[in-house]
Amino acid sequence: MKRPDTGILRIKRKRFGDEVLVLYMYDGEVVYAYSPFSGEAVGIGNVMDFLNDIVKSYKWDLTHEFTEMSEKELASVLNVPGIRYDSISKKISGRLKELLEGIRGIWSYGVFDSRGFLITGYNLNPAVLKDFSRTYESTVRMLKRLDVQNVNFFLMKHSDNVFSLFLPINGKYFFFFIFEESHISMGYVVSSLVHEIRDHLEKILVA
Amino acid sequence: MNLEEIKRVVDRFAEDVDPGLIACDLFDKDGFSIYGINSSQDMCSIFSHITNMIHKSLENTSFPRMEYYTIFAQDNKMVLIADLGNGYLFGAMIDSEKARPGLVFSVALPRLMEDLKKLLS
Repeated sequence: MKRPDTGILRIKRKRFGDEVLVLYMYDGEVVYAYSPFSGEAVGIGNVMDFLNDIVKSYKWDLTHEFTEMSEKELASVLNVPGIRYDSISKKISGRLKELLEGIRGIWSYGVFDSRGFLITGYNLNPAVLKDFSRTYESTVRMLKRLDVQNVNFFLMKHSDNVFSLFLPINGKYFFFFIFEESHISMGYVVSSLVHEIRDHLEKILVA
Repeated sequence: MNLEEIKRVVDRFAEDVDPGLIACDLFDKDGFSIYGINSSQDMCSIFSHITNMIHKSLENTSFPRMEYYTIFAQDNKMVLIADLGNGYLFGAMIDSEKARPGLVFSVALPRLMEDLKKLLS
């Protein structure tokens, strides 16, 4: 049976607060779930494992439990802002894969919006994205007091030669990338890769 | 704390980055400056606050510990914040066109961090 990219899961369990969750699927796994009523993500740690267990145990054939809907149907039923990203994510992901394919040492990457909705990604836990975008907005506000305007990107060095890159696109979208420097030159990332990724994302997200 | 040694290390960083250094400060986690060049209390307290926020964001992830971060902004401004441990931070505002980022990241910053960590441990 074909696996849907998005769907509505009806859960009658009080632990989630709501009975309906919107699920985002990548490669057959639930990577992001949120309540359309509160707008809050619920896909963190054990909860995510629990959701995946539910989805797998139904084998996608209990349609009264998991309803596969088209992008348009979902949007009309729930008016959920994240839904419109389904078609955009396809446009973004092809070229991104081309740019990053073959580079060893990539832990994860993803594109998400300022509300923390994941648009496309690889091996990225979307549960942290909302926190990242809030931190970015507060940082930019504070930097203005030091006359530091229009942030191009953040580059962070972690222990074990791991770097993470946070690239804002038009202040509304973000590209996040975490990699090991022993496999990729930081100079290449800063002087070339960042600009190619920004050009590609701006064409689709800002146009 | 050997303030003379700290001054020597920070001054050498300024020479390495010359002529691109706009300002720099060694400060504690509460944002109080210990020593700086073109020192700014505003810069220390804002960088301290930003670093705390980043640490909190990273607590929810499985990322390795943060050592330093840089912010590349308009007009070639580059902000650099290093976490030296024991509640100390080093922050610098640099003109990235004048300072040669390769030298900053591969020579000046690693040497500064290593020396300051020893002095502050």
